[in-house]
Amino acid sequence: MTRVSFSQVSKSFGAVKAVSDLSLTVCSGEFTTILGPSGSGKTTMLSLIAGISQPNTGRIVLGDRDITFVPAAKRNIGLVFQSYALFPHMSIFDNIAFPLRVRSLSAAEIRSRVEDALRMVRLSGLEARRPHQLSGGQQQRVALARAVVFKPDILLLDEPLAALDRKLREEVRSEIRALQRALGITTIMVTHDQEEALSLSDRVVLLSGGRVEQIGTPFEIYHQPRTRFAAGFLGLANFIEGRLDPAGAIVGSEGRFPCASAGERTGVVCGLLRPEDITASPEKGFVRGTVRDVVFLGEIARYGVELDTGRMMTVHVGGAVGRFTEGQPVWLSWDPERIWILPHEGGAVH
Amino acid sequence: MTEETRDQKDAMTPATLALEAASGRPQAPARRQGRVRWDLVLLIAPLLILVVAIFDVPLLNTLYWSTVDDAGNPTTEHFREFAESSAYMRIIWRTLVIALEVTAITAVAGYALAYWITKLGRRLRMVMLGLVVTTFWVSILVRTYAWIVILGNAGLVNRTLMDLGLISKPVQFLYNELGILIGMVNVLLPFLVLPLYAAMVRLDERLLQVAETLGASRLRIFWQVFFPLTVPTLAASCILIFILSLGFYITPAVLGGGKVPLVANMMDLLINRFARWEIAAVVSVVLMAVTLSLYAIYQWIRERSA
Ligand SMILES: Nc1ncnc2c1ncn2[C@@H]1O[C@H](COP(=O)(O)OP(=O)(O)O)[C@@H](O)[C@H]1O
Ligand SMILES: [Mg+2]
Repeated sequence: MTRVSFSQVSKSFGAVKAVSDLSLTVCSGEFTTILGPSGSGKTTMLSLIAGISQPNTGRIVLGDRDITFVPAAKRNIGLVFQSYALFPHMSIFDNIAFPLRVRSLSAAEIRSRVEDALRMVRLSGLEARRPHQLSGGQQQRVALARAVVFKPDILLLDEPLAALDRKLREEVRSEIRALQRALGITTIMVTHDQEEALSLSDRVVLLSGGRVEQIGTPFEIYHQPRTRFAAGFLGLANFIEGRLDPAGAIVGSEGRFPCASAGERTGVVCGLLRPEDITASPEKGFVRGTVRDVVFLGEIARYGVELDTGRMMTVHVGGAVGRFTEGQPVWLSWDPERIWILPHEGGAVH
Repeated sequence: MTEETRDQKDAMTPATLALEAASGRPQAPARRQGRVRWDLVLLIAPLLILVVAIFDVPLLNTLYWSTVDDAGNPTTEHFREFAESSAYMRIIWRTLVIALEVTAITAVAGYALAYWITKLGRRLRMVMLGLVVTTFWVSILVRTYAWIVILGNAGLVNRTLMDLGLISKPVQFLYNELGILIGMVNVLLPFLVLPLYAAMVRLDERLLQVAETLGASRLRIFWQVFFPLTVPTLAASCILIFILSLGFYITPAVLGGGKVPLVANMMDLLINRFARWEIAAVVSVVLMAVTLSLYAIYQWIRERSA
C-alpha cells in the first residue's frame, strides 16, 4: 500500500522558512492529522505532497516512488482544499467526472463511478446542480467525492471542516472518518483544531514553526506530551515546576505537589497536570486555595483556584457535584500517577 | 444577500454582530417581502433623473426627428428614402462587419496579451500594464496620425521590411480596410486587456492547482478551467468593443483615407455637408435597433447557457 515519507524536507518563501528540515513517515492506510497553529507550515506540507510546490531540499517518497519532482498531475493524489475549490462553471456531475475524463474512461464507466461517489457522500440526485446551489457542507462533500473518485493513493485534506459551522462540522467529520475507513485510503488531514485532531486520527503530527514537535497517537500527544508547547496546544494544562523529591513530589516555591516517581529523572522538572485530573473538595487534600473564577461550561465547570502560595490552578469539575462559589476555600487533590513529567523540559536528564 | 439585509448590517456595531453570531440567532431576520423602500427610491431619484435627461432624452429626440416632417407632422417619408437607396444599408452593413472584425481581432490579441501579462514577474507586469494604460492618455488623433508614420509607404515598417529584402515594394497598410482595422484595434485593445487582466488575476489559483492534482494537463486546465472562467469578462468586453467600434469616426477617416466610409463618416456628411438631419436620425435609429437586437440575442444565449 502507500506510505509517505519526508526526509529532511525544507521549503522557504524568501526569508520565511515555512517547513524546515522535516522528516516523518505516514503509514499506509492510516488517518494522520497534521496539527499546528496557523502559520506553522501545515498547508505548505500538503502542497509539497500534492506537488503544487517543490521543496528546496530533501526528498519526498510515496510508496517506493521518489515523487520530489514529479509533477502534480502525475502523482495520483486526491486533495481537498478548505475553500472546496469546486469548478464553479461545471455541474456537480462534471466536477466529479473531471478526474475520470482526464483518465479517458468510457462514458458508462464515468457515469457509474460518479454515481457511486455521490452515493458515498449521500448527495445522489444533485448531479445537475451547480456548486453555488449547494450548502457549504454539501460542497465540501462534493470536493471529497471528487478527490476520491479516481482512487488516489493518498487523500489530503486541508482544514476541511474549518469553514463549516459547529453542528455541520461534527457531521462531516464522522463522514470523513467513515469514508476513510471504507476506502482504507492513507489520509493526511491538516487542522489547527485540537478536537478534530484528537477525535479523527490514528496518529497526530504536531507541528510548530515548520518543525515536528511530536508524533504520536492522540492519547500519547494528550497525556504524554514531550514539551510544554505540545501540552499547552492540546487542551488546558497546569504546569508544575520544581525540584523532584525522591519521596514522590515536585517541590517548588509554589508548593508541594505529590507525584509518582518519574523514573530516571531528578533535579528540576516540569510536570503536567490536566484540569480534569484534579479533584476539588472542602475536605483536606494536597494543596489549599481559594476559588477566584467560575466558568460554567455545560458538562463541566471550570474553576480558577488561587493556591495559598499565590499560583493559579485550573480545575475542571464534572456534573452537578462539588459546586463552589467565588471566594470559597477549597482543597485540591489528584492521583499522583496523573502528573506527567515532561521529558524535554526542566533540568538535565541523568 | 439582499440590499436590505446589508443596510441593516451596516447599522450594527461589530459587537452586536458578534453577539448575534454567538447567540446563534440568524443575522438577517426575515422581513416582509416586496415592501418598497421609498427612502431608498428618493435617494437614487436625482441620479435617475440625471441619467434619463442625459442619455434618454437625446435618443427620444432622435427617434422623433426620424418620424416627423418639416412641419412637425408624423411621416414615414424618411424611412422610405432610407430604404430606397441601398447605399445607407450597405454602409451600415460594412460598419457592422468591420466592428465584428475589430472585435474578433481585439479579443484574440487582447486575450493573449492579458494572459501573457499575468505570467510576468511583478515589476515587468506593472510596466506592461502601465504601457497599456498610457495609451488612454494619448489623444486618438495623435495616435491615428502616428500610424501613418509607422505604416505609410515610406514608413517605419515598410522601410525596414524593404531594407531587409523581405519585400520589393511597400505593403499597402493604409487607406484601406486593413489600416482601419489596425488603428481601431490599437485604440480599443485596453478596453479588453484591462478587465480581462483583472479577471485573470482574480481567478482562484486553487482551482488550477486542484485541477492539476486531479491529473489534468496544462492544456486541459487552460481550456476547461481557466478559459471558461474568463469567458464572461471576455464576452462583456467584446460587447463593449463592438458597440464602441460602431461609432468610430477619426480612425476610418484618417487611416481609411475616406475610401471606406463607415456610419460615423456618413453621419458627418449627412449633417455637415447636406444638412439632412432627418436621414441621419433614421440611420441612427436603424443602427440602434440592429445593435439592440444583437445585444438581446447575446443576452438570450447567455441566459440559456447559464
Ligand atoms: N506562497 C507563499 N509565499 C510566501 N510565504 C508563504 C507562502 N505560503 C506560505 N507562506 C508562509 O509560510 C509559513 C507557513 O504557511 P502555511 O503552510 O500556509 O501555514 P499553515 O497552513 O500552517 O497556516 C507562513 O509564515 C506563511 O506566511
Ligand atoms: Mg493553512
